[in-house]
Amino acid sequence: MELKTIAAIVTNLVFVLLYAPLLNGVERKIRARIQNRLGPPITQTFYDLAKLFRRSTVASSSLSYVLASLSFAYIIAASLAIPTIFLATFPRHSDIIYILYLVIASTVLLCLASATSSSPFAALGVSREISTVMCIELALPFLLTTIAIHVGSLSMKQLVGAPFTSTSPCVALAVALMLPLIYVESTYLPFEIAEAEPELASGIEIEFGGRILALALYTKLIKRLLLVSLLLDLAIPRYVLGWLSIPLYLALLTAMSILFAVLDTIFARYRPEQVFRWIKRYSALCMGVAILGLFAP
Amino acid sequence: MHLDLNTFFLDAPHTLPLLLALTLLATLVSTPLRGRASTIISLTFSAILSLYVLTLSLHVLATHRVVEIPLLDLGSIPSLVLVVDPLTAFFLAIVSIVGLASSIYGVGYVQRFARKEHLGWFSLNYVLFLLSMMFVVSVRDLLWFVVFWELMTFSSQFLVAFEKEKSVALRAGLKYFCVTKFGTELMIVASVVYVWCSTGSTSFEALSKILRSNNVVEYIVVTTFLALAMLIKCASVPFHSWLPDAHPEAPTPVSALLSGAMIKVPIYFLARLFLQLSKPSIVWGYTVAVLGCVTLFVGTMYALVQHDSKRLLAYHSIGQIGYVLLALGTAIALYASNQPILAFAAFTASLYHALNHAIFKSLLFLTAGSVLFRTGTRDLNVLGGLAKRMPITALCALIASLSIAGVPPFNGFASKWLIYASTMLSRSPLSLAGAVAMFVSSVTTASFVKYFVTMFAGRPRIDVSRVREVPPSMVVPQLLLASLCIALGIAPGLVARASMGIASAMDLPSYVPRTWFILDIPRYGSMIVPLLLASLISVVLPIALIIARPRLGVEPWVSGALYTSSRSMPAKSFYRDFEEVVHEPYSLGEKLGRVFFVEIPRVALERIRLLVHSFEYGYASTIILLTVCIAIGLGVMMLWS
Repeated sequence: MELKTIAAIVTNLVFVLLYAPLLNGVERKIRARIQNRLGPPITQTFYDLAKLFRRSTVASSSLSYVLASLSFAYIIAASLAIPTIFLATFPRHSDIIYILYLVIASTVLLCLASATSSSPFAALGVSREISTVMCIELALPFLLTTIAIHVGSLSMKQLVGAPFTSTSPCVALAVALMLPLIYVESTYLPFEIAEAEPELASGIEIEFGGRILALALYTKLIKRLLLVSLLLDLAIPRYVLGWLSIPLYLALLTAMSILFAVLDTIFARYRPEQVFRWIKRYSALCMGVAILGLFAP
Repeated sequence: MHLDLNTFFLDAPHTLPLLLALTLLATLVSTPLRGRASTIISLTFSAILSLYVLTLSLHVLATHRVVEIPLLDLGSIPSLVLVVDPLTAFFLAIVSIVGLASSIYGVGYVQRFARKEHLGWFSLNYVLFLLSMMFVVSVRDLLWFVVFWELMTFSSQFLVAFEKEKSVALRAGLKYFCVTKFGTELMIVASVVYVWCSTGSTSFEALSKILRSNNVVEYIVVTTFLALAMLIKCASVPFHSWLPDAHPEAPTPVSALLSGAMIKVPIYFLARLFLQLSKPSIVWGYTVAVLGCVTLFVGTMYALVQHDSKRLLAYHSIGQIGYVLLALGTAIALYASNQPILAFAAFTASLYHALNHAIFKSLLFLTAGSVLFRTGTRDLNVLGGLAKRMPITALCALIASLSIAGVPPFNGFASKWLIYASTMLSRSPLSLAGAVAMFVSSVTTASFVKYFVTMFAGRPRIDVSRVREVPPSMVVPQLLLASLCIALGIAPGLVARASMGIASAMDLPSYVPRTWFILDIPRYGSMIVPLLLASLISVVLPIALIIARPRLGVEPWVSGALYTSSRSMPAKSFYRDFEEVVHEPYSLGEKLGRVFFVEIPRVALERIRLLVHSFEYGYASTIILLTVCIAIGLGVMMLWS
């Protein structure tokens, strides 16, 4: 691997590690402004994480910190595999199914870690989180199939800017339809049912404390950034735009984050069955697009 | 002393018969013994035989040599010759890996039945079952194929119904026998009668001659009968109902053999039938792929709602065999439609997933068996908190769960990735089947989160204070299989290379995999390198561990109330919301099940009872009816031919 590529991958990783908490700070500020509050500074999430990392971990005696750490390791692996600032990835031929599996694996491992705490609230949160993942997977593969059929590859190299490289309008439609699914998977309101603060007292995170909580929160923030980045990679013709694609990517990433924060403020939390029913109906639409994509030119 | 491997394997025609004879002799001599001695003797010989067959298979796969082992020459009856070519070697490797692990595990496990059951009877059937599976994939004559197939069915049904005081086990054994016997009858009609009447021979060459002739009727009749027999035996939907009853009721080492090895035997024959003995057909390719897709969906969705550990695993066996069938069907269809690269990828995926499923499913059965061995229960609603008491079993269960869930870099991910890639990129209706398979993978993940959490995390509702880790003879095979889950995950090229050798031997187009550590589909630009992920995780994980290491352990917070086991979530409540919303598969399955397995059999059995008063039990009547039907069918066929 060339030194230039290594430098680009390291830059991507540093960007993800720094920008994920910053975006969360922006979201908190937006949320506060909509609610007529002054809100914390946009760097507040850094302070929160730093405070948690300084604390020693107090957790349930049966909690598996190995699984929580593995979850963080998987999200770091995902952040190397998804093009962010630069298009360089590790491994060089990054694959979209591999990326999705890394992100899901990170979520599943965090759920398993949480469940080992023996807390009934955590178990309820785990059950809701995994059910949400199942529902999303009811829809997402159909969109991926539509894209794969027309692009002819699952490699990120060829999927970047897919609607522009493919002549089929179905690809653009499939990429657009991914947006709501990414919003749901990012656990914003009204779909934030696994943590559900007033009901489950943080659900999955209830038994995490100190450094483990910091790792869990950091994992969640990185996951949000990566999911939006993945969508933007698919949507923007980054190879064509060259260096211009970096400011465009950053602008759109921030804009999406702001949009998500606004939506998060507007909506009230759904009940679990409402969330599952909503995604189930949405998956019927995605399936329709996949069938259309099969026969469309 | 220097051991020349080539001489050793070239001498297989002498070594293997000797080992087979010794195993059989030792088993027969020890059969009258009721105690553990018989099991120790026969399972030790089974393990040695499995080890030898495994090394022989690996040698054939590495060298692409064909080993012929003549066993019996009976004059007018076709000679019994074992032929180990690369495809046979691959499936022999599957049988022998699971056989080796189960045999070692069984020595300790059968303590459960000491003084209750006749262990000599168990040993005899166990050895016959293992040997018959090895023979079925090695013979090249339909007559011997049917003979060993029958032996496989007979011995395994005695093993399923081994615990005689359990009426559930007896019923499961009978159901398994009746359903799979029906499949065998179809096979007898197709092979022994039809092929023999047409060509005067029952060899695979004679079968191939019929299938490659231009007679469409012959082709349809023979392939349909043989394919139906195979689909029944591998529990493809709609012929799956016997499996969730039979597999859990068998003693655990047998459950591992049934799910890990036996349901792969029909896959072997389907691959041989549709990719070598006949020209690949688009119609059969789509039929097998669609059945695979339905099977993986139905099996896994039903697995999600189970809360008996072994029954949950049995339903997943249906689901996972669906993946294998989907990949195999895709390979047949794509070879027929001249898409050789994706076809070879799908073919590799089917072999790879068959091997992976054999490893992680037998491991899962061994972990469930270990828990059953120590706690005496399979009910996930009452189990919990066993990770501290059975740490190695918990670790193995975690590795197996992550493998079956398809978490990279474990072995399940690589084969599933190849299934998704080969189907999705095919630009055909099979692409949609790939999407369904990907959804079902998430259901599998959910199911195994429940399996692991309810068994090893949380608090138990039964007394587990005296539970401890299982003995070393039961731990070692689990660790062996867990290591294979990791090794085959990070070196997928190993299987891809073996698959290339198999495809070449079957005259199928293939491509050369890049290295042992890369799985790729050339021209489509898709590849994965699980070793890189494993290396990355091994760097990041220690850092995260140092950061996250807990300093103080406390009791979980339960709104200030005292924490008792009654507050932990039972397995049946785990995905209740999801099951209520996505209820269609269950309600449809219930309706179809009521019609096909309750109403129609009830009416049919009532009619049969009226006819055959002397038989009280319905299944016996069914067998008679089937036999009569088959006899009529045979007569018609013979007249026709």
